[in-house]
Amino acid sequence: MKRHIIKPRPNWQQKVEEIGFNFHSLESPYWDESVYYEFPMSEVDTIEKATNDLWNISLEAVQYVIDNNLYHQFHIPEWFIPHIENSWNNDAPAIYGRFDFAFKNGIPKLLEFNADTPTSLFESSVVQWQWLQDFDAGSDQFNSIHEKLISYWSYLKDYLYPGTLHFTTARDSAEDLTTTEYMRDCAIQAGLETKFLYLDEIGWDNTFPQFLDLENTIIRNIFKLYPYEWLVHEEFGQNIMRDHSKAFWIEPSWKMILSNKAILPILWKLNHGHDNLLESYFEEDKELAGSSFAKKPILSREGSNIQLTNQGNMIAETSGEYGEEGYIYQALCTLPDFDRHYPLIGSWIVGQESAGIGIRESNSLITDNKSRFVPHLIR
Amino acid sequence: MKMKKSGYVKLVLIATAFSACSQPKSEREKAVYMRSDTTAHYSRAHGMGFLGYYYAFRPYGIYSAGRGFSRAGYYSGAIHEGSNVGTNGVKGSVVRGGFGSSSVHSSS
Repeated sequence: MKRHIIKPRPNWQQKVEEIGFNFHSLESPYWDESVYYEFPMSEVDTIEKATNDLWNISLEAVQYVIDNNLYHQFHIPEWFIPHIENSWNNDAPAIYGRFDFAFKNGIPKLLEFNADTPTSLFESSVVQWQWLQDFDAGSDQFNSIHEKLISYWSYLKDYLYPGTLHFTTARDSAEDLTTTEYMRDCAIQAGLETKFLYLDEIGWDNTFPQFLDLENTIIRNIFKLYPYEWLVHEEFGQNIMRDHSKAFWIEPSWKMILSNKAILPILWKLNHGHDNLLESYFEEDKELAGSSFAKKPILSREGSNIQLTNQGNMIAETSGEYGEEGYIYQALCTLPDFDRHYPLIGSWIVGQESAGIGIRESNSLITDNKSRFVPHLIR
Repeated sequence: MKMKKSGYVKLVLIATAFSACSQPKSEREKAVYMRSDTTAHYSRAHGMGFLGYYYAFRPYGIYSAGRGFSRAGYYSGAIHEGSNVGTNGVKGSVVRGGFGSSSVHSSS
């Protein structure tokens, strides 16, 4: 893995806006094409294999959590457990997820799995692909996300209820809306009938308990970019259980288990010594993590409330509002250092397959919402 | 050797389709509909403060001297046709607004 400094395309803002990418420069620059990373194919193969392996052991870990009734370690409300188990046992449709890796010495190490609401999808799939066409069209890129999304939506068609697939997200986030609409774009190209509505537009029918859209059409299939830990605590949360139409929520609710950092100690326990895992423990066993560890809330977003400790000394910390539900302790694995630029690899799984990567680069050891997205190629 | 990248990328929800491999540009016109139901509470969608192909909710109306902007509805090319032309006539037993209150930013 090499880092290269280059000159951005002269009209890059216009180029990316033409394809619908309008949040390239928000509070701070987000899309950064003054830099790219180069990978040899051998490293791409390594990341691809790690992603597929981790997906398989993640599914085994879900079964383990269900079989051993470990929901309390995830702070999942008891009343929602039947929904999670139904979605798992009925193999409810799922489409994607993103493993975050620290890639050092040729080995990807799993930092966390964004299994429920991963974003940077559009940037990974489309924007960096467009950049490559302009920069070096003959080169390859680890990125067949677009093709795989369309192909997997097409496969899922037979597993959805007949009719419309709804798409929803909250208002006021250009990033979330773009991700949701991009996902809908892929579903349309797969031949699905779709509709978009905002989360607060979703209706609940008190006469015949079911969710309705703005035309009072029953919602039976719905892709949401909104975390379950928020959904279940909102006014309509318990209606998910009361829904007579038993709508498919995508991602399915069993992803609540994988998107929670409590899965990391479980993965380690079940796969002790796995090359792509870091030792991880719950609070009661935190001394096993030694004096160099990352302390992470089991529920947090975008790098909030994380502490990195090296040989007993805190070397990085982020603030935030998470941590109420408890923490896990993960052996310290700092991101690779390229002149104080620290890249994190987000490796996409679409359906059951590794599909490509996106890179977020930070000036600190913790990747957060100010980290930049930088493109890559294979050479 | 088989490439690891997509052969071409096409988007259908935005006006511009682009691709490699000499794929033709889409001639598909983006449909724009007018939302007729100005009483619906969801109409505040236009207030997001950003415009783009994926989120082009725009207030529709007229400006007049002394009265400023008079809103008549909303355009959007980003939502289904039915969402723009419905009425509230059969919504008596339906409650809305029960999701979305936690949101700051959903991504992870």
